[in-house]
Amino acid sequence: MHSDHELIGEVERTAAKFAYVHIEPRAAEIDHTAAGFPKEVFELGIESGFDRLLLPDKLGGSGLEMPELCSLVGTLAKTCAAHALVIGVHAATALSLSEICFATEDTGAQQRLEKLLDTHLPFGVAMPEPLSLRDFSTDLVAHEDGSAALRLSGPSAIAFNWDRSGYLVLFARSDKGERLSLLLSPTNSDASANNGQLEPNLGLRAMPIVEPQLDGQVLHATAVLAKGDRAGEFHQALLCNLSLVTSAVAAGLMQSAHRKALTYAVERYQGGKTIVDHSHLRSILGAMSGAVSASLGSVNHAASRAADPLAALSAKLSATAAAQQVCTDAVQVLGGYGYMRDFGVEKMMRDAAVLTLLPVSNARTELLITALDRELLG
Amino acid sequence: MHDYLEVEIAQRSLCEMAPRMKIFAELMPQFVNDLELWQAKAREYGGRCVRPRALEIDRRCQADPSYFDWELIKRSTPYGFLSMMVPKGAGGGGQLSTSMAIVVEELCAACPGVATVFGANALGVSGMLLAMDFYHYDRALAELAQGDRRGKPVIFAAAITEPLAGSDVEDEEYLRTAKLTGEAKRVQDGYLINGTKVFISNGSVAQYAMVIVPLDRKRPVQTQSCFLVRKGDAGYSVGRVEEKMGMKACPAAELIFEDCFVPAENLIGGECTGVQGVETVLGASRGPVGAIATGTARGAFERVVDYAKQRKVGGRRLIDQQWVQLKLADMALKIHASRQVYLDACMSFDFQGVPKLMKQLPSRIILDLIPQSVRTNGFVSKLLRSELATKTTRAMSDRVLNPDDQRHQQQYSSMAKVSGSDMAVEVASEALQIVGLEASLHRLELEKLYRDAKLTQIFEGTNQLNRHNIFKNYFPEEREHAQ
Repeated sequence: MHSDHELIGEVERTAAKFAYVHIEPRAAEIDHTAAGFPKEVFELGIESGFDRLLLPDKLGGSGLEMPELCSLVGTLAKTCAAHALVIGVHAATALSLSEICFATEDTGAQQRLEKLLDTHLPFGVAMPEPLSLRDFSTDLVAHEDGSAALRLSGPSAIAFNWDRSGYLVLFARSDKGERLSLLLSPTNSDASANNGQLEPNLGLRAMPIVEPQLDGQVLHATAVLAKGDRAGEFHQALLCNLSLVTSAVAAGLMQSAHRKALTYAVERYQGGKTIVDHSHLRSILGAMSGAVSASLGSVNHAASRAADPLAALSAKLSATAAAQQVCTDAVQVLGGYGYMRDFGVEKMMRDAAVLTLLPVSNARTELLITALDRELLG
Repeated sequence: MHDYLEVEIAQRSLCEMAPRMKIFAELMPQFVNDLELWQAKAREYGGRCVRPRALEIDRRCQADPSYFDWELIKRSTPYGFLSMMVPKGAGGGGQLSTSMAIVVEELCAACPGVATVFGANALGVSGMLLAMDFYHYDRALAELAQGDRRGKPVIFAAAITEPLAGSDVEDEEYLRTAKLTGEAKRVQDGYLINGTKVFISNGSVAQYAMVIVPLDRKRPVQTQSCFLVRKGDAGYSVGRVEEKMGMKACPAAELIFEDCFVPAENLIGGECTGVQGVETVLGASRGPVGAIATGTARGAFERVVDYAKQRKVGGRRLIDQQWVQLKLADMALKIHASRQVYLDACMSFDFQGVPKLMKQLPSRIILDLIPQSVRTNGFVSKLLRSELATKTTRAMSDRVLNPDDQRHQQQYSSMAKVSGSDMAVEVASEALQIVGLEASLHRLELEKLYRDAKLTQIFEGTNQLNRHNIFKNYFPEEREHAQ
């Protein structure tokens, strides 16, 4: 039986090889052309079992835990944060769905989930703004029209990792104002509608970020995942799982950015010496390295306490902010070259900026953390 | 999101944006009036012409970095932005650093990439302008002014950076050990230039480039010189156009010189004056770069205010929420503070720097009283470039310009550049946070401004080099120990 340390090592080796073979050859081009959801890489990830890493045996999963998923996506992120997040968002969402299905002891829901997973289609999320603990703000309304159907009206939150051929987790309110969490399946997607047409975006371009056009969409009543307080709890749990994954991706991304900056600094000559010999640059690189180590620590701490929402949100806040600073500094170290596409660090800077907005922005995460802290204070 | 110009903060007056102007309006009404007129022109062009094109240009340049919106620049010609720094005696706007800065701040609030086209053009112009090389005033600069009058834009660039020498070519100490590719050799009737320049803003669209190379690569400090090269000159070509993260509307190109012949008259300001020339030019341009950064931040600020006034969360507008209000207040504070720093730099330069020489009687006689047709006469032309003229200019400079003022200008201009650019990146980042994930989408322009802002920390000398410049000039007694 593997020790935790050995297991993590094995996951990292598997991820590194996967990234080298399947992601590295295409990541820069996909970023440049914003080609849409990376189906091929996603399917290869399914074949490698990444999608069910955290799921229990009865769902065909590996039964691993959050530290392993964080190691997986963190290692993938060293090559491309966007591809890492495609895998991570899917795995974290699958975990959250299994948690509510098994929490209700509803065997029908459990069977439906098993069927969903067997389609090997990706999960995307349209995460609304949290208003407070276990509550969210949404203008999306699901109207009951008397039959076993729901008709959606109003704008949805921005969706990430959503491909029209896949599933989308949504949050809405009923006519009576009750909180709802819903699952939009590919069969619901109206092919003629302008359903989340891709538009250019800042970063993480291999992972689609779109505004779904759901006005008028009709869903079957079985699309309801949870209602009322349960929907609020599901929102918070999903937020936390996605926050952990985001923080792990941020940690991997900034490791790569720091390494690129250091490698450049050791070779580039200015002012009569290599720039790493300028003490001011050493300060910058040292601060970057410190931020990387600190973030790895906070991510590992949060991952080992996966049921602790405060740890998850705090890790997301600190790691993504640090990643943004480290990647921006990496561009700065490379100077003019850093700003150009060829060297890859400007992509890292853009990706890191979007990580600070996922699954909700750091500014909103701060507010939620205080709400959690206050609840803990009693 | 509706037209952001409907946001009230985009319409505030110069006196409100810069309180010193209210005081100057009483002491120097014409000066302030001129600045307000230029601001109004820039606001009009920015709002009517630039902003509607900003996202489309960004998209097209993403697909093809060499794309350039000539039609948009042509629409600027009635406003005279390209020729605003050409002396009036040569047919231009006769403006200096302060007006340039106010114009680029307004244009940046619309699109920093487009604004940088004008900023980089001014950098190319300033080499000849600040060398007080009247020969070029009446030829290349006059052609630029004529281009604006005819609606046929003529664009300039300044070619300083090399593949292995970025910071190294912008600092005298670093230049000593720089690994240069460029060199100019004296030949009959002129010079042959060889070498490569990189990341040259406007490089692929410029009619004229001011090129900085030494006459002897082994002694760059002693022999650095400035040359004017024209598009189409034999041996001069444009290489690759870079794929930049932002500021895409202004192309950054590689310029290649292979035995490029430059006639002797296209030397700017005399042989071996390049180090002083570059220092003067950068001292003049870094204040307006602070304005570019300030305008970029302001663009993000205006757009996020507009968004926050419309977007509701939990039944309340974002702008009604305290955390948003205080973030917006911080942004307003930072933008305002950066503006004052760049105005310090620009006004210090305009009133205490080389432009002071242009206001001296000999310069005014030459530029304002002697007609251009007489100045371009062969004999007068030779006289204006003679050894006597050079000595007279040098003597005037020694008499009129105070070395402490020069040192302060260097300090203020680098401070403007550093404070503005660091602030722009912070403010653009905060704007993303206020909006949330939707800000990552192209449509709101906020992600574009975030990408644009980063370049202001890098060009015109990285912020690290500029901090080095601040140190040297703030602590002159420690200058020889500055590393």
